[in-house]
Amino acid sequence: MTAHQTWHADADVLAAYVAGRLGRSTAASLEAHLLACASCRAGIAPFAPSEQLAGNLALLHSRIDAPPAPRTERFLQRLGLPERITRLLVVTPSARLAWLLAVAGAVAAAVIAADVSASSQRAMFTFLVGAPLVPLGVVSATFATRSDPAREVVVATPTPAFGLLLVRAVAVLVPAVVLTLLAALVVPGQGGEGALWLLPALGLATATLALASWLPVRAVSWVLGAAWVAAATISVRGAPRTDLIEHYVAFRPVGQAAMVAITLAAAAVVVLRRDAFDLIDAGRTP
Amino acid sequence: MNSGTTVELDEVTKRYGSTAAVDGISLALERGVTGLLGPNGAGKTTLLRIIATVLAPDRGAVRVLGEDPGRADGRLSIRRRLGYFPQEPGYYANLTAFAFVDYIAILKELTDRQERHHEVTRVLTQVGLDDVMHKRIKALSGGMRRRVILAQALLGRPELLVLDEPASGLDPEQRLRFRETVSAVAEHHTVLLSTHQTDDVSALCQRVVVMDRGRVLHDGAPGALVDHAHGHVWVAAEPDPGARVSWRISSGHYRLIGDPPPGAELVTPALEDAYLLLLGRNTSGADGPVPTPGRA
Repeated sequence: MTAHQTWHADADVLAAYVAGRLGRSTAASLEAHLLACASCRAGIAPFAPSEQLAGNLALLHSRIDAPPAPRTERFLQRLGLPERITRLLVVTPSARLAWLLAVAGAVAAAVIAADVSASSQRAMFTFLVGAPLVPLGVVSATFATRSDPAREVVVATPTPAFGLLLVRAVAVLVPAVVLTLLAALVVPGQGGEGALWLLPALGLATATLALASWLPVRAVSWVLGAAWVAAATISVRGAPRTDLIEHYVAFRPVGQAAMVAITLAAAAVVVLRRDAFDLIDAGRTP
Repeated sequence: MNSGTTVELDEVTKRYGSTAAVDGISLALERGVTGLLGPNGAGKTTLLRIIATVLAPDRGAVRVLGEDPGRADGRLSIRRRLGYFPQEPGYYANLTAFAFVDYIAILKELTDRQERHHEVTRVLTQVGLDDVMHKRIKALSGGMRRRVILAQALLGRPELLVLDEPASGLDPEQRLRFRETVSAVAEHHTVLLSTHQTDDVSALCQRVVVMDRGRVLHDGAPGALVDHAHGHVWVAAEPDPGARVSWRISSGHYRLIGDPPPGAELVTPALEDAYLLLLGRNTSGADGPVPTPGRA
């Protein structure tokens, strides 16, 4: 094919092409010429950044060979989240466990809410006491990094472990809370009562995080969850079935205000102690 | 801290209950490969975790790459320039090797997708996994899985590479490739390598630190450690109850370490002989037996 070439590009032109300094029309003309001229193809080789080209080729192969991202990750990317965020959200077993917990909790909330629709205040009380356990479980599953096989590698990276865990927890909590809230609010005739669990949930979740900077998060979440349920059970002992909610202080205005105070105080502790999650000591990132 | 010093420890102590895993260690590391030898429970992993910033000491001062890992900003600066291979290198078995290293690259702040994928491809190629990078980790052999973890440690061409027993489970060819990789990194940077393999230390390390029960027993060139064993290694037709260690070698004779009897056929000691001799002295004084892991 080179026999009929009447011209050849000089070295300056070839170097300018490789460096991307040629105009578009000149570059297009040269490209057409290069396809037909072995002499110029040989002449351009010394200017080609071989390491970069090898890298491009390897990258091309890797793109062709790469299996598709997991379904969950592809779904999140369709929602507009960038790949670097979706990967952080779905990759770890603890994150998947948190998703499962959230879904299970939301389903349980829906079942209880369906019973509430049969106008049983006992069912509503059970729902209000049980619903905060969903976020508590999510926080426990997300922050229990001992179950993360790569945790030591992850902790040694510049990405702050606390921020990473918080992003994962929020990503699971938001849909879980919205679903649970919807499950209560769609029940006819209950007014705003169905949202009374929100502040206790916030208080319990942030208190768990604060204490987890010193103690194993699973133990903390179990103790706080059990204490919450025990306090509710004891409070309503002997109360009339039609007045259970009013008998548990956490659902009265003073209790709700206390939950706000606990949330704020615990959040302050979490912010001050966030560096504790950057280490692998037992009790700090259990 | 000298300008060439990348890691400096001053009287560093870390206790677990009543046991001092690291007991008042002072150490300064510079460019090149430093080997860390010691029996199980010697405190090597605790020391490496402190240097890798994932564990805080109870006492003592630590400087890594000129920064204080006890401060959040210092820790961040170190982690941006650190490669770490932990003793228990976990991974997500359902991910491909590429996806796992890509995930760690995201955590190492390589946010540009194209640059990141270039870098991930580079490190996986460097450890010899270019052909299997898109296989799930659970489908890879044990040696390949360890190389995946080594690959993530090499991301971003770290100034300090902390490797905790990275070569265990590698076959001879993989081990040679591992040595090639580590020595290439150590031309310009600092590598701290914990191992049970004295042949890796002989082949790679300009310096060897021997630890036992949280303390440093030896710190110097491998040759200097070997020098201590001259006159303490001999071969004989029968085992000698007075030897600290003895084992049968391929010729059918016994290789013995300790204080030789008069007229013994002394041989040139290897690093392993010197290491066992040193551990034996530390464990039980001049006359006691030395632990003989896997031999006798």
